Amino acid sequence: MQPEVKQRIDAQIRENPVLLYMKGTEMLPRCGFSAATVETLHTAGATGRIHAIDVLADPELWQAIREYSDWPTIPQLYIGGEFIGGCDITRELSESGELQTKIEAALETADAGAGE
Amino acid sequence: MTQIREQVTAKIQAAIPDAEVEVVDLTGTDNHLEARVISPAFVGKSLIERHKMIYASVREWIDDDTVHALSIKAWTPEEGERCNPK
Repeated sequence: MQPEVKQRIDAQIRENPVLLYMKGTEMLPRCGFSAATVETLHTAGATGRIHAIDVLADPELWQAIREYSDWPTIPQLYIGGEFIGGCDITRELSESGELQTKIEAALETADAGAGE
Repeated sequence: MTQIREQVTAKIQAAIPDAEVEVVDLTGTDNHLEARVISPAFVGKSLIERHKMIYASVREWIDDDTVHALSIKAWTPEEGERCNPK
């Protein structure tokens, strides 16, 4: 992986409390798993706070993020800098309520940081 | 030719020998699959670690798009019992 791409990913993860690498956009997902993950995030209270990145528009980033996360598929979700997983794990964490907790904590930290 | 679904079942079984493995074809196209795996090997492992174990066993088929989508349910025997009692 090119150092420049890795730095770009590091920054994306550091700067976005709710970060979703997906196929398509939040409004126009182009894969069922990406669409389901967006929906799960909306239900969990992240509407308007998701930073979605369309890997279809950036093939180099698509390959790099699979290597970076050591996760072969898209979507990939990061919350508060932590790799959460794909569609299945996001859904399971939503069912247990853990997803909502992680989102609230990450947004609080980000908003507190922004307020300084 | 053996269906991909059956070959994926065999690959996961080989990678996690004591697992109960069931692979379902979600769309009838033999490339949108769901793997339901129950194994004591998952005890103490996070969801990510469990999913990575399963992805690793079929990684080349994901990379070359033979398996276009693989949904995963990875439970310990106790979770499996709770999630779908027989």
